[in-house]
Amino acid sequence: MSQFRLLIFLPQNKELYPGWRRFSQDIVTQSYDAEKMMEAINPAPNAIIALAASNEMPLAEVAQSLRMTYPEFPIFLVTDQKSDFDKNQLIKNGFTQAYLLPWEKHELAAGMELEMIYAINPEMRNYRPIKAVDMYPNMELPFDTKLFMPKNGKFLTFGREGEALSAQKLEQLKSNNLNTLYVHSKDTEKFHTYVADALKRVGKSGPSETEKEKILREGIRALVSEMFVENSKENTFKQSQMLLEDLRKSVRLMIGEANPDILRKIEQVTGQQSDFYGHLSRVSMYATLFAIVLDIPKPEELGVAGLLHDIGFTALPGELSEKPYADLSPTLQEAYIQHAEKSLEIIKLKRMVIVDTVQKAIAQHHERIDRQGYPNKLSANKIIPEAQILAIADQFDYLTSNQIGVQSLSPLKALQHLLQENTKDPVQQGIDPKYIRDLIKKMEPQPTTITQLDTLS
Amino acid sequence: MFEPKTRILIIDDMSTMRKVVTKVCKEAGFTDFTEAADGNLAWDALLSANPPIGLILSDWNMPNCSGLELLKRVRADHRLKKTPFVLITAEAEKHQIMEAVKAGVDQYVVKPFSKDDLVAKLAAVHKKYVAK
Repeated sequence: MSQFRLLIFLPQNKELYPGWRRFSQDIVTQSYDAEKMMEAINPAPNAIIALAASNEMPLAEVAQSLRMTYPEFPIFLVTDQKSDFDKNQLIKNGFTQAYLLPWEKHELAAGMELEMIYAINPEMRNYRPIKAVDMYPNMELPFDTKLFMPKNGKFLTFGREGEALSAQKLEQLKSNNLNTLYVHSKDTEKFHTYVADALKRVGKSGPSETEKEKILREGIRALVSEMFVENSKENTFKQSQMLLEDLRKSVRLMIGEANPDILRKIEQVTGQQSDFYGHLSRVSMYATLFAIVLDIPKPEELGVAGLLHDIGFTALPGELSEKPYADLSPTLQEAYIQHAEKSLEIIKLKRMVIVDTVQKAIAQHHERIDRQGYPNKLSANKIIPEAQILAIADQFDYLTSNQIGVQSLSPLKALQHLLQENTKDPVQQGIDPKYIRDLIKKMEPQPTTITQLDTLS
Repeated sequence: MFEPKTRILIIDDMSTMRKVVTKVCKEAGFTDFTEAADGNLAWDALLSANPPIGLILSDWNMPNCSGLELLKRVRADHRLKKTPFVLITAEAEKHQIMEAVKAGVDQYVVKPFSKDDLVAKLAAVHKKYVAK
């Protein structure tokens, strides 16, 4: 194996933590001195690490100056300064990736391992890892897939475009404990379409019910975590919109199977093309996905609840949905807080049959665990988990969709915002933060391989 | 394109950033540089430079006298008003750029920028001055 060389920038008077030797025996250290930064390093390093210079220089400026000095190199920030750590901004300012310790030590280890692999196989930089579980047997591949063999460092073609992978071949991967395949970055969209197609297929036919559900759950989880990758330079949420469209179809399939005529009835009430329907449909999808990720027993019930939760607005004055709650007159505010109950009335009126969980989730989606919610100021132990997940999905949609005058957040940012809102003051909590924490944990991209690593600084 | 011997005034409160910008300018083929740490010092350098400054590359955010204030002073001075002026901004300041455009900035580059980014911006500035 070729040598893996790291150039590490250290704050003044700091010594390098010996843990770095796990990644490389060939480390060159350097101070953040402008003259020193310009010195050429021979042979060139494989990656550059910037250890946070505490208050010597703002992190964004460290990013800019290192990027401008080393335009072609991967540059990683490793810091424990939480105060000015804004990952997206730091990446925009020039870092390839930024890690906040001690929280992201596994991600850092995975990132370094990936760099070691790149050092051996530079072409792998143009490939992105996918989970082997996302490959379905006997389905024609619309792209080449590759495989990295850790034992000999080789990067081989696994399945070619046009080929259908046999169940046996996929089983071999599993038995050799190889969980990651690679797809060329230019094929990312093809990969999304492929997974969405596969999901739809699974939804319609195929293996036994339990197996079907397992595949669907794993597939959706993988797709959702995909959506949460905050890519360098651009927010991938836009690209995810297409993916979301596919997911929405899959979720509708799930709902439709469990409740044959409910979709038609809902569309009758709302009109399928309206913005309002858009909100219901997105919340339905998010709630289903979040339920899958959080292992709630019947995720499709949340899908139904999402479609129906705000349907009560159709029976209330139109102005209610045009203004923020705070700007409404007292009479209208009074009407507003009835919307969940109105939703249930309409459901009854239209003879839609829904289970008790769905009914409660709708009734309680504006209840808060601090007992300040409406309409009934329920206490935390009365609010069912499904209602909390519906509330997360509802607010998540508000934060991520384009609202006039409000900048939309990326999925991860939206969840982080919700977490902050619900943890900053223990007596003012709407949603139990454990659900949000769990979502963030499970949706953040999982490192492919993990090396245990002690705190670095 | 600007002559390689054009004297460039590079203004930034961070000495590291001045050196980094100088490095990128060198890669772009320039040879004559003067540095200043804020708008006030830059003003002095502009008035005393001989040969005169042929191009200003200024950071936006600086103590004492910001890049925007310097720009306004330069554009209001009959001796200096025709000096090409390029602002260097951070991603986070990009939204303020209209203010600088109104004040007469010729171009802006967003940090971090490459040699190619800089060359492209300077070519646009040069074209504008030749047309005048």
